[in-house]
Order: sequence, then C-alpha cells, then structure tokens
Amino acid sequence: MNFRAHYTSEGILPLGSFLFQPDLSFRPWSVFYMTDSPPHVAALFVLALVSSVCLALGYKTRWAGWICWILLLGLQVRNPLILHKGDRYLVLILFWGNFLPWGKSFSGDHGFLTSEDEKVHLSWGSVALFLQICCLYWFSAVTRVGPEWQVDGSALYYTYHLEPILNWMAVPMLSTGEAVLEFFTRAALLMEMFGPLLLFIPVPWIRFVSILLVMGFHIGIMATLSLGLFTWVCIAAPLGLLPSRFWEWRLGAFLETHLQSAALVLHRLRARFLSRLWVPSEWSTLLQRFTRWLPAVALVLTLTTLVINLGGPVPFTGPTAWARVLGLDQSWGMFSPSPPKISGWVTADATTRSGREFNLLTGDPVPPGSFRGHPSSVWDQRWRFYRANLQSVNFGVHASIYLNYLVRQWDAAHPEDPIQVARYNWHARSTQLGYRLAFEETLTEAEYHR
Amino acid sequence: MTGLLSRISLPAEGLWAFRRGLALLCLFDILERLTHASFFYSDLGIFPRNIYYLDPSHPGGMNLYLLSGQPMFVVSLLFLTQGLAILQLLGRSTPWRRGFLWALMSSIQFRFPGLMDSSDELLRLMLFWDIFLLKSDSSSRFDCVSWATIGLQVQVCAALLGIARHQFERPWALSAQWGGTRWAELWPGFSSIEVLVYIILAVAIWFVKTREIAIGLALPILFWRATAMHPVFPLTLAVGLMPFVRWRSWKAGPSLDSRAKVNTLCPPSQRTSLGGFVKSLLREPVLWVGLFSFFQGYGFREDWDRVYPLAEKETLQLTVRSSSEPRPLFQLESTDGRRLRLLSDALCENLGLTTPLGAAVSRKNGMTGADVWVKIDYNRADFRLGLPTIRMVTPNSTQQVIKSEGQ
Repeated sequence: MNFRAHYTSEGILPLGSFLFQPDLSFRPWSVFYMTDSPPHVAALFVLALVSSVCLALGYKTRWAGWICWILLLGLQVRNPLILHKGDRYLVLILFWGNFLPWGKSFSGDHGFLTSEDEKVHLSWGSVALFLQICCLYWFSAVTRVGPEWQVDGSALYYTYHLEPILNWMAVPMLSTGEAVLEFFTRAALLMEMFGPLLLFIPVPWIRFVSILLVMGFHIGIMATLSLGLFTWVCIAAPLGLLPSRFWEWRLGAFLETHLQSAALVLHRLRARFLSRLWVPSEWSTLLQRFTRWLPAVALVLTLTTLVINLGGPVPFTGPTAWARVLGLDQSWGMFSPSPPKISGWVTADATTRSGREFNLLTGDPVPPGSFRGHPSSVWDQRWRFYRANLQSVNFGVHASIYLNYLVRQWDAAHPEDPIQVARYNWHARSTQLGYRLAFEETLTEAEYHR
Repeated sequence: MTGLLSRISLPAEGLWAFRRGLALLCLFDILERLTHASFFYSDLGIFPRNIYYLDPSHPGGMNLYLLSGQPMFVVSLLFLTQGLAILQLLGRSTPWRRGFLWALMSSIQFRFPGLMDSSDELLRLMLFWDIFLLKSDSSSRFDCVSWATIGLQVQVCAALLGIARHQFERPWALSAQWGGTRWAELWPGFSSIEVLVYIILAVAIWFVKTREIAIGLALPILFWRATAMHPVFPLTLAVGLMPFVRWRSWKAGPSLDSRAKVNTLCPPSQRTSLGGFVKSLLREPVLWVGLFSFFQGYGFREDWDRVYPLAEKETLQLTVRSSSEPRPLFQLESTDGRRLRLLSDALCENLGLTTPLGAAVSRKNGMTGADVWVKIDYNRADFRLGLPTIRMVTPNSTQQVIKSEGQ
C-alpha cells in the first residue's frame, strides 16, 4: 500500500541515500537494489504477488517458492527500517520450506497424495525447519536474563504498558494484578524453554498437543499485543509439523477439491496467455543433489550465527558473512533482556506559512502536551514499525530524514501554504511498578526550518 | 507480397556468421572489462552504486549489476556472460540464452554509462535483434524474412545514418588528436568519404542485389578507420553487416533461388497477403520488445555521437598521488586503452567523479588522503596547440584550481 514511500526514489530513502548508509545497506544483495523507479518497483511487487498466489495454490511450487523467497528477502533488505521480527521469521521459514516437497500434496502440481511412503518426509530440510522453529523459542528464552524475567516476574507488567502495541486484552490483563502477571511471565518463559521439547516426542497425539500449545501461546500474545506478522507466522510455521493423520481428516478432502479447481484455472490461463513461457517442473539431477545438501550447510551456518549473535553485533566476516548472503543470520529475544520501561508516541508538529498548526502524521491539530497517540490500521503497520525503529539509537538520524520527507510531501500537495517550521517530537512515558503514575517527557528528535 | 519480402530477405548462413561474430565481440568485450571489473563496476571502485543512483542522468532501468556491489559478484556475472558467449560461439544458444546474454551485456554497459561508446550501443542493439532471429547453420541454403530480420535491417540502417550524420558534424581532426594513431593525420579528408559510404550502405542493405557491392566498397574504408583510429567500431560494424552477405555465392555448393525459398516464419497460407503478414507479426515474440524495454529502462537508447575515438575538444590526463608515496598511485594518460580513455572523458565531463576515484585508489592502496591532479589539453580542428590547465581536485573541494598555465 505504501510502496512508493518505502521503496522508491520518491520515498523516504531513495537508493542513492540508502546505499550511503552502511548500517542499513550492509546486506550483500537484493533484487530491489536494481531499481528504485516506481513503475519498476511496482512490477517487482506484482511478480511477488503472482508467485505468492502460485505458491499458495501449489502451481509450479518449487519455482514459485524460490522466487517468493528471493523477492521477499530482497524487499526486506531494501528497507530494514520498517521490519519486525516476524518478517525475518517468515523469510527463514520460506527458505527452509523450499527444501521440502511442498508441491507433493494439497497442490495443483500433484494433488492429494495418499501413498503411505509419502506421508512422512525426512531430509535435511525438514530437520532444519524443525530446529528453526525450536531455535526461535530457545534463543529467545536464553536472552531473557533481566530481573523482570528472572527475579520479580514483572516483564509482562512492563510489556502491557507499551501503549502503541497493545491489543484489546492487554488492559483487562493489566487489571488482574501483578501476581497474575508474574505467573504468566514465568509461564511464558517456561513455555519457551520446554514447549519445543515436546515436539521431539514421536507420539502423534503429543506432537499434536504440543503444536496446539505453541499456537495457543501465540494466540494469547495476539490478543494482548499487536506484533504484526510475527504472530501469524509463528502460528503458521508449526502447521508443517502436524501428524499426517490430522490432514487425512475432512480438512484434507476440502483443501484438495478447492486447490485443484484453482490450479485448473491457472493452467487454463497459462495455456491462453503464457504458452510461450516455459518453466521446467523438475530440477536437474545436479540441482537435486545440491538442494539435498545445501540445508545441512545452511543449518550449520544458522546455528553458528545464532550462537555468535548472543554476544552482540558481529562483523561481516566468516560464517556470518555467508549467513547474511542467504538471509539466515538471526537473533531472537523480543523484550529481552528486559522489556522497555518507556513507551510513547511521536508527533510531527508543523506550522505553515498561514499560521496553521497541526500534526503532520495525522493532519489533526494536536494540543501541546497531549499524550494521545493515533490508532494504526493493518495497512499502517509498516509506518508504526518505522516510527518505532526510529527510536532506537542507531537510527536516530533518520528522524530528520523522515521529517524532511513529511514536509516535502505536504509542500508538494499544498504549494500555496508550505510548512515553515516542523518538529519531530517523541512523547515518552516511563512505566512505574505498582501502577504508580508515570513520568512524562517530550523530546524533539528533529527540526525543520524553511 | 512474396516478391517484396524476397527482395529484403536475409541469407540464413549470413545470420549464422552474424551470431558467431556477436559472440566473439562479447567475449573480447568482457575480457577487456574483466581487467578493471572491481574498479569500474563494484562498490569499491570509482562508481559505487550510491553515486550511480545520485547521478541524475542514470538510465533508470533494472540492472543486474546493481543487485550487489561486491567485486566477487561483479566478476561472477562477467564470467557468466563469458560462458553464454562461448555457448553462442559453439552454436549452443537458445532464444532464452541469447536473451540472458543481451540482458547481461546491457546491464554491464549501463552500470557505468560514462564508459559507453557507439560500438557498445551497436553491439547491444544487435544482440537484442539476435534473440529473435531464426536458428541457422553454415550450410543453410535459404533466405528468410521475419519481423526480427526487418528489425535488424532497420536497426543497422538507423545506426549507419546516425553515425553518418554525427561524423559529418564532428571534425576528423578532433578524433585524431583525442585518440587516433599516427596514421590518422595522413588523410584529413577521409571523414567525408566515410560519411558517403555509410549513407550508400544504409540504402543498399535493403536490396539483395546491391548489398554485397556496397559492403565491398565499405570494407577498405572500415579497414582504414581501424588502422588510423581504433579497430573496435569498424569490427562491430563489420559484424553488423555479416547478415547481409550471401556466403554461398563464394563457395561451391547448391545455390538456390531466393524467391523460391522465402521463409516468412508464418504459415504458408498467410504468407502472400499483407493481412497474413501483419497477423504473423502479432504472433512474433519480438513484440515483447515493450516488456523488455520496460525492464531495461533505456536499453534502446541510441547515441551515435560517440564513435571511438571521440571527437572531444578536451583531453584529460590524471594522476592520483599521495604525500607518503613518491610514485603516482594511479595515472590516466592519452595512450591508455579504450575504457580508460572513456573514463577520462567521463571525468572531463564531470570532475565530481574524481572524488570517488581518489577514494577508490586510496582504498586499493591501503592509504588515505590521496590527491587527484588533472591536466586538461585543448584540441583544435586546425591542429594548433592549446594551452593546458592543471588542477588539483581534493576530496573536500572539487575543481579547486591550483595552477593554471596559459589562458
């Protein structure tokens, strides 16, 4: 929805400026480095959309999966300022999933397979996917070393005070009291440490229950915190680990029917319009061997990077360099080692030539000293992540770039009443234990004067 | 309709030779580029991607060489291009491979547009039309005409007329001084004869009967240009003329009537009517031009004003020095190779590029604070000596004049 602002030459970070900033453009490659002109970027987005639909329907699954991964990783590399942990997790799951026989069942390529020998799949790819899911929780748990997690169990209390990301269940949860929140804090930590271990027990019903437990954990998070894509990816990723008996139930026949008819439509479209485009359905033998062993190497890279990243930022050398090429470098631990104790909103207070004073982010007049944030819809989430990322130390300079962009946009739309002065303000509120009144402060992070 | 088509048809064995010639040109071009791959095309060189995007004149299309700025990536793509060119030379090319070769060659050219000349333009455009030409071999004995062959003819004709126009406007003496050999000054009136031959060629290639005479007339002219100036443009143009030569008339073997073997690449029933021909054109993959052009940005831009050696009024020489190193770290001289001379022209047009040049040379030598000195000689059509300007361009203040002689 906002591709012009985030990825093109008309946006906040044209490639010319982006590539000047090594803290952002440290990743070695991206399809979106090739161009930043809006029509070309739009064409890449359309390609990503088409490949996603093909992947969902199981049409040329292997090609669609890799094209999706290349474009998604490229998209994330192009603008890391609007990313969240869920984006990283999605691209990792997509990477490992591409080594699995995704097109073998519930797909337009092969339909619904019922032969016994194809019900269970074991390869380096499946092992890697399994461990990737576990690593998310284990490496989150080991980074939670703050006293809020380990001593007084107040982590959720602080987390539920981060007003910009709260969902409808957060306030009722807060009202249950500190003792209940302490219980849930410890339960969450235990779940992260021991929940994935249940997945290793080769009994179908235990596997099923443990996946339900993981999914329930994330549904609980979703009810209280708005974490964007993260929750959805975390719910979807373990679905691949469900026992085959689950899929043979009624759901299987339903999916098979609908996927086959959708794939048939795609086949007809291809015959009508894309008959000149030829895409081989099978890999060559050499490529098959390569894809059989690549996940093993990639898994070693992943685990190495995870361990190295525990010690903080790492240089672009050795195994981490190769992990970055494949987009496998990762570090987990949201709200670690301690949850933030300051939350707040940003406003971009502007004064135009005619004397009008308003907030550039919302267009509404904002009384001085107001601590009301503005609600964000699903389509605005990238902006929310962007504004949140601007608060981190490394990206402080981007507040100025963002403010200049907002002013430029306003001036282009209102040439008769351009902005004279604008300020990007961070209205911070500290969280006090025991439901005590918060300390409030306004910090000006960037200023614009015509 | 068949009669008209047979008059403008191209011999299949000429297309075979054309395809091999293109492959050889690509091979030599990439070999030449490999010697400066990191310096010209990577983020460690003179034209990193951030400078590329900040340059307001950048082509704007998608470019495979912008995917990454790592030198290893650039070198890998160059080797991939070499591989495709070798496959084409061995007759193992397919339309997809030729399309990929064209995309790679276009990308390397537009990665640093300042290093392009008209030979690159011609090569790239011929590679494009080659994607759609039919497959043939040296023993093919038929003439063919298709949308692609017509496109190629239009392209070569446009190139010849464009070059003729610019050669007519630009004095030969300036090119001779900028980068000609010692033979260049022997025949100052050569330019007008060259222009005349290009115009004759542009018309003659449309007719089967006149092509070979015109090409025979052009060969000595191209040979002289190669001797007096530089071989790259005459060689590229000679490859562009290959599809028009009927090699079979020169050697033993069956010679067939071209009228009887016209191959329009459309069903026989539609071959003779204009409507059928237009219908066949609509089915031709060449109409994907719009799509390719869209992705490649200005891949179809034609600039015939830069036949090498360029007819520039200024010749730039450059030295990068460091106070801690007695020898120069990098030098650009008027006797350097083609790409370095084109670089000197790009620097002459935009002295701001000397800042990343100084940085790249410093980085390469593991030191900081290198100074860039430039000397600009002025060429005159009457061969009178111009008065040179010497400047030091520092990273902090570009175009700072330290010492100027003359004026």
